[in-house]
Amino acid sequence: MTIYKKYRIPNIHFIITLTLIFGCAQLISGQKPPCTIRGIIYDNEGNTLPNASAYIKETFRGVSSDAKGKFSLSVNEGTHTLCIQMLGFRPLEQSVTVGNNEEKFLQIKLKPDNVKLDHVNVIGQSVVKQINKTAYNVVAIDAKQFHNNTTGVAQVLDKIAGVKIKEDGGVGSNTNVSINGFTGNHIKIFMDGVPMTGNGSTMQINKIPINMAERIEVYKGVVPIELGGDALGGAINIVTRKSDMSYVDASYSYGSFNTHKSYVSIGKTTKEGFIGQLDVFQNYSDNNYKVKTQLLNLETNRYSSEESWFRRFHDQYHNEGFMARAGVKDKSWTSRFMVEVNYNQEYNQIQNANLMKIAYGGRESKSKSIIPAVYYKKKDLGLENLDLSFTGKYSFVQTNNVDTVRGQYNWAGDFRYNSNLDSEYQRTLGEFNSKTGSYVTTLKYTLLNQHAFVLNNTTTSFSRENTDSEANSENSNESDFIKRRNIKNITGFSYEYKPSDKLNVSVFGKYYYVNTIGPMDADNSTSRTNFVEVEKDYSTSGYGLATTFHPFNKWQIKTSYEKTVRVPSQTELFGDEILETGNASLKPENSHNINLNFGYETSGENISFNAYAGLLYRYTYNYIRRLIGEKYGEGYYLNHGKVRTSGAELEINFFYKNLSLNSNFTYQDIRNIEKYDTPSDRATNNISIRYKDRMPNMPYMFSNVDLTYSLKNFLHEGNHLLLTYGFQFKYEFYKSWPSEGGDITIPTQTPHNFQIGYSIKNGRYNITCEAKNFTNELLLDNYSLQKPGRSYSVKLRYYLHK
Amino acid sequence: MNKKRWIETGLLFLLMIGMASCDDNNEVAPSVGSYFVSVSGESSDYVMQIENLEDANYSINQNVFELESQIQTWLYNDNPSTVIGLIYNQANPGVGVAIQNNNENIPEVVGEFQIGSRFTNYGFFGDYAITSVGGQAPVGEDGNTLTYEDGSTRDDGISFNFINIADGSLSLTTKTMQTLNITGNGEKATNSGIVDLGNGEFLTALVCSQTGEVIEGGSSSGIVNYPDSVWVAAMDEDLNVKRIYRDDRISYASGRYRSRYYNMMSKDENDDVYVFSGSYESTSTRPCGALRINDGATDFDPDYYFNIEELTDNYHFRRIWYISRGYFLMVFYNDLEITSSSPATRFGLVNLYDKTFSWINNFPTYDEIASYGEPLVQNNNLYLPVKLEGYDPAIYKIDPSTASATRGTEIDGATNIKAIYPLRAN
Repeated sequence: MTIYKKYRIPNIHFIITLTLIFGCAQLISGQKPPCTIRGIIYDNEGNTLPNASAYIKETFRGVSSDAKGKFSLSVNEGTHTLCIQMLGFRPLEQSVTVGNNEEKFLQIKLKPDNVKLDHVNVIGQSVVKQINKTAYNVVAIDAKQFHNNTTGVAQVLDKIAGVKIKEDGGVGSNTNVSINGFTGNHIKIFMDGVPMTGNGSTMQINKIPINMAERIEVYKGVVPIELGGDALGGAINIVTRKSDMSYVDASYSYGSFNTHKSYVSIGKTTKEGFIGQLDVFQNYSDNNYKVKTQLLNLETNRYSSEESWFRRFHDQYHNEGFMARAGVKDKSWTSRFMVEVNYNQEYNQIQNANLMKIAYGGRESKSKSIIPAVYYKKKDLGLENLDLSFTGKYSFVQTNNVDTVRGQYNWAGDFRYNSNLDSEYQRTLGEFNSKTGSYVTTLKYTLLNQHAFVLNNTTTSFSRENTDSEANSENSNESDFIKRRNIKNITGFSYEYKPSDKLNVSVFGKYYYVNTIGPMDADNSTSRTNFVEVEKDYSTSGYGLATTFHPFNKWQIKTSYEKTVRVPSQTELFGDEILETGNASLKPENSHNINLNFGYETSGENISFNAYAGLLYRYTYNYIRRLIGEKYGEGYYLNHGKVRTSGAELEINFFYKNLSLNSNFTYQDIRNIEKYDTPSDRATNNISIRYKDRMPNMPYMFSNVDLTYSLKNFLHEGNHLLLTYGFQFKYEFYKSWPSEGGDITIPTQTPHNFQIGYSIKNGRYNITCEAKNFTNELLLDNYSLQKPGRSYSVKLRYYLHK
Repeated sequence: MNKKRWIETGLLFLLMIGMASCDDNNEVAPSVGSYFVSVSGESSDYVMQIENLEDANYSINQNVFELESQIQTWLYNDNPSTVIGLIYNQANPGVGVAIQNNNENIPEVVGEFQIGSRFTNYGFFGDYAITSVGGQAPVGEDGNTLTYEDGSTRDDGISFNFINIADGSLSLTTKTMQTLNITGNGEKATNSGIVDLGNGEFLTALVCSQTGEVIEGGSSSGIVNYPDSVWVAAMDEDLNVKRIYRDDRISYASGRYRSRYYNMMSKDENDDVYVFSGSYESTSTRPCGALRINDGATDFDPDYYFNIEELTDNYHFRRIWYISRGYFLMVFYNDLEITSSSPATRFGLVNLYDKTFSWINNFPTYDEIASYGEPLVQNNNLYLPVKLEGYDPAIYKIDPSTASATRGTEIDGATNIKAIYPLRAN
């Protein structure tokens, strides 16, 4: 729903988007309605206009005009509003009536618009809009508006209603996403529809350059089958740039804490249909921001009782990577075929433990990943309107942890050698290798323009081994060298019925199958362990429904429901050899997720307004809980626990002339509704004190507001100035249960950000200066783990396409 | 856009803010009392203060404050002014806290310190709270890790942390001792238990095992080749080994639970030290039993031997706690066959003077007990926190003279009571 307009360099994105629309409209619809509107677009001097957009206002289906200014749109019989837009020209709307099997041909002349560029620029974001208009409770964000910023994918997600990010620190730090209170393995993250779990640590949401992303989709509660994962509470899909144009996108930014980020992307598509693309990126930061904490006296090992400010001294992070793609399009055997190699490496110094006051000075981790991939698409596979797509990825990830410093550091950066200590945390030189294969196949068939059948299969196979036994010998036992493997196979089927543009109904079912192999201690004696390899199969299913209709002009109502599933993990089923006892009879975690969304959009001469309200309800049960206690001997898993979430989200976007206001507000009431702490408490009717209490350590009220002022043709024609002020608000929440009398909270925080951007030659050259958290508020998402204070950055970007 | 819609939108927004601002914070004033109690909630630990051990009802939300981290072990000795809480994470350096009562007799954190190494054993000696862990790699004078003849890293070091609680500084000093061939059998040792002899020496039991290969228990000990022997070392503050007590009548004196090596020794009112063995090793042929080191003696008392196992239906025990007058509370494994993580919730009482044993009367059966906390001894009675399946945790009063138990004070909403301690007013 959200269309953030922090940044818009229209000319740049325009054509890419149009191309996408062209591709997507074909792909998504995959159908050929019986009528056609054809046309040719001229300027008032009679020159044909390539890359203008032509779309049907009612459906947002559109194409761009070709090199000769021609376009062709397939439509249903009836009257349609044809819209033509191109930057620098006044948008044109025209009513067109076509009869059955009729083909209309139009000659269209656009008038130049020297006064101002179209502000709302609906078409520039129409793929995003199209997704937002689907029956799902989805927020799609056009990532291109952030391409001139130093912000990351995670920070963009953090601005979405119902979504919160928890970060441990600065660049490269651990990042965790929550959607409506679901977090960790309850939500799944995808990149171009492929689960990101196998990517290794460098290609995760906190590290991917924002310029690599075309758009970001967040599905709340109900997830379409095309994203194959056991997502209990929602899914995120990051869609990367897939331009078939020739382009160069190069940027460099420098900011506080010695942060350097570079990104270069070049792509070339020949007339013969050969595509070559290369992305290269680099991030570096010392993360040497100041934190307020207690100081350890290295002589006495005692902490100071007072807190003071210290500069981080061991938190350098850098990563580098490239992604090279080559392929062809529009061949007899394929609509698009690409081969890709992605290489990443990272280096990460670890500054502190999960309590801020514990400082480290020698711990670090390194990681490398190589991810080859193949993409294949074929339209009309042997049968008209039968489309196939396949993505296969195989990732090799090597992680190396180092902790060998004998001694202790404190926050002043002082070190004291201590031969009695073998490490700062846990002595290791360990090296872990993991291999993940991900294979996504989608088959779609469209019938009579009203019925769509989609079949998706997503298979991931994960295996891990410690290859270097010498390096690992410090802390390992024989179980470390036993194979661990996990194969997850998720098959989804959906049927979509779309009798008119006003109504759309989808039903779907998902089948989950897991095969897992891992070590289990088979010896009961006190003096030995005997790990054996065990294997288990597991299957379960889920289903859902999504509908949308437009009761009146400007209004949209959506409802969606899914019974979601999270399959138990390997540790939950088998245990982890040391501290956990597995439970092979665990049931999957389940949730009933219901969404009701209302949308209202209107626009006038200089003004545009849209508002979206969402109500959500989640009933989550069969929670897999870890119990500990003497009785179990060790950690033990069982299905116990229910959580009910009801929430409301409101989003208001308002545009008036050069000014735009984007705001949203989220309130989510996440309650523990399991009356009893354990099954035995149920037998004795011992009601839990935490019954009906708010789930701890989860933000429940937050808001985001952005105010943007744009000046077109500032100082010079084709140059634009953009000023954005924004703030985020997150209300105080408890670290633990209020009902227990917990008194540690994560305080209310309101960081303010400001940025000024200037783009020259319609976005070819761009410079952006940003001040983040300019009131220097103390920010933290997790207890005691402080994030950076005030910071400044500047980003230079060159973007050219043909 | 007409006016009415604007108003509607505004109202909806206000409604949502209104909904959001109804918050729930049940503030309950903490009660004032004389016992410090550590309780666990679902994911946090709290410090409470209660007055009544025997017949009261408290709620966890009457706590005094929430602790920053969950505490694994509370240490408190006969000096009742300070309690020390230690975090045990697998290998993390932990932040320990020291708690004292303030002027208003309310507990508060008076200091925090860092423990660099993990610990598998703890106790008190002189001015110090001590933690220790074996299986460490010792370092030579040149600063390099020592190696065995085959070139592999040595693993016979024991690291001790000495936390000074007497001068209030809480200063922590780390010392390491090498144990290779300490008992003359060529093996390494891990230590278990600390008994202050009061003469500048302390006793600690040794668990000897083969060097190099670690099987489990957090890499502190390896294969035990001599499971029918017991060793106890007498050491001073500088970790000089003064003498080693040895015997073959019982197995080593340590209670094993995962990586833990629980204390199996205690001094009685006559300053005689009783040394127990629960015969943890399945290869041991010695029954569970106890020996005695008489006050000032340099050997085990050859005339004292107590075969406990023949009185306990062959159940082995994991931990012991001294009450008084020769009485010990013991906890036994639930099953006859045991592993390092086997549950142990059977409670019994032994008297080492008259060599008697009794299971406890009026006490929950082992399968009813979910967990228990560290006990408190007062007036010859023992107060044991017990959490029963399906009930809130309660403090059981155990009278050793009758071997009977009474259910006392409960704490609603707590998942566990970890420790009780009569913290002195300052």
